[in-house]
Amino acid sequence: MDDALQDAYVKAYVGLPAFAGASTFGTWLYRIVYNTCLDELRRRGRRPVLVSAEPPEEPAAGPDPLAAIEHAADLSRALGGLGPELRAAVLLVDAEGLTYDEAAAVLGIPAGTVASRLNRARALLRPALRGEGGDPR
Amino acid sequence: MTDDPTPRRDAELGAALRALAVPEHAPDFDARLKQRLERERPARQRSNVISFPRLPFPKLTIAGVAAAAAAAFVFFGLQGADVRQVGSEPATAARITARMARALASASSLTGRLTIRNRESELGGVHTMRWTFALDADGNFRISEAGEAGALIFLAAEGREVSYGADPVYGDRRGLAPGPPDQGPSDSILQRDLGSIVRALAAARDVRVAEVTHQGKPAWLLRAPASLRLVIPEDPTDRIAVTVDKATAFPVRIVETLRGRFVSEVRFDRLRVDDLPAGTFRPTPPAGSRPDASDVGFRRVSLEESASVVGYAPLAPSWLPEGFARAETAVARLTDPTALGQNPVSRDVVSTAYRRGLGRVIVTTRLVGADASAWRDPLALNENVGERGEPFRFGDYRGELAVRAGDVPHVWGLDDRLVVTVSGDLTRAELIRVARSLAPLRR
Repeated sequence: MDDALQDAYVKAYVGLPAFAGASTFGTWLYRIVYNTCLDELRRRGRRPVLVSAEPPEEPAAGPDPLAAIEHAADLSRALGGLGPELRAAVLLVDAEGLTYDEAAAVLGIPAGTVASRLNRARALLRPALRGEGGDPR
Repeated sequence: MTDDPTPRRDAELGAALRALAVPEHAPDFDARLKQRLERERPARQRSNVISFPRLPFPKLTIAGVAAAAAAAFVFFGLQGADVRQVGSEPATAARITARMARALASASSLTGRLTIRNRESELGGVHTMRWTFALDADGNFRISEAGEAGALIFLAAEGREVSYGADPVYGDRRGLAPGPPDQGPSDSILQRDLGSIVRALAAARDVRVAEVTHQGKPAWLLRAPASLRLVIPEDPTDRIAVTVDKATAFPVRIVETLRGRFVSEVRFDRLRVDDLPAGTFRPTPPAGSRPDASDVGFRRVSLEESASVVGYAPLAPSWLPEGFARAETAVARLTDPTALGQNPVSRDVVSTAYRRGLGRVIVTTRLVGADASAWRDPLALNENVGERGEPFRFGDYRGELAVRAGDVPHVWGLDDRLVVTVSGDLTRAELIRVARSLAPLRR
């Protein structure tokens, strides 16, 4: 992950003078990071685990801290098992708060495709969120 | 824009995802990044000397445009046009568009003032910028910010761009490419506007024509369901209104709207055709100022000489629309990556500009290198994220064809040795024909 992120930062640094301000800076940078990660995936020929499978140090909010940790581990594993396209869609929209149009601009796909990827990703992640475990692969 | 009103974010899932742990960076992450950025600093500085013709304001969102924007549209959409007669006249529209095309193709120079207004925010503020400009059929141009003493001057034959203002240091960029996808002059506004207006009107199906006066002069007003995206290439528009000066057949005012609301206006006034003052393109930095020199790496050669520099036969079109002629060829053994730095470094590049009046077409070739899969559209800009060209094959080259609002029409493709681009003032049909006519230059 470090290597991909460094590559993305360097590309952004070199490309910044050509950034016309026609998109938000955040969208532009997200897109560079996303493309760089896809390139890295292609080079490796396998899926890296972009998000740790370890439970978070601080448990997610909930009535039962131990259950929350367990659910977070399930969710982390489920997220890591998604394909990069589904994972990127759900992280950009649900976790990062981008609109469908902004996510579409980052991913280079129509907004409708973002919606369909989100539906699939959410369907695969919700069992883990509810503590039902399972492997989306 | 999407109009789906259904819930768009899964708040519960989002909160859980944000609570997940993210791996820490390695301890040397910051130090390694700093080293890499330091290594890139020269390339960054080379491309950062001047950029004011690019538009510095952020993307504007369309949703939720307030009533003030509508008021702005009423103001800017009607100002200056005294409509006398309105009608749907495709034959007249076609004749006017043809006259515009001929005017652009036959002019040897154009000077005037360029004003750009665009909606600045959802609250409806309007941003205004003004420049004076001069350009000629050799590819030279000069842009000055209105009210400022400085200027940006591009000398096409030298591949040199000089920019200066009140600062004691002036920019002197040398070794520039003739144009995209490589680092060329900072002329995106002028180069993109003029030809695209004609193409959009020619392609539109229902162009309504009216006789008007514009700033006291007879003019045509052409309104069409078309999109240019002249000012903010990423922002959608759905209608254009183009005012054309009858005497010169040059477009003098272009207003773009979306669902009836003002988006942007581009206005050319004080236009003078083929009347270029002597010394227009002579750089005159302030006395005592010193240059901040940089070199992008391109050198002007003849097309025939280029083969001996790069070690392969460059491609040249055997067909171009009537009137286009080769203007300059530049070669670079090594230069910056294209596509906002996302492509591999460009090696052994040949870039040739063909010009017709104020229009141009640029053909480039460069080595693919070790990893053909690493290449994406060299002309891809952030303005068109989310839009891919259509798959296109010409000869042995596989790539994409992109003809869309807000972008220079282009094709690109690669085989196992070369990456090829063709871009410029061409219709879709012309672009395809030019690309398919490319052949290695015979010695």
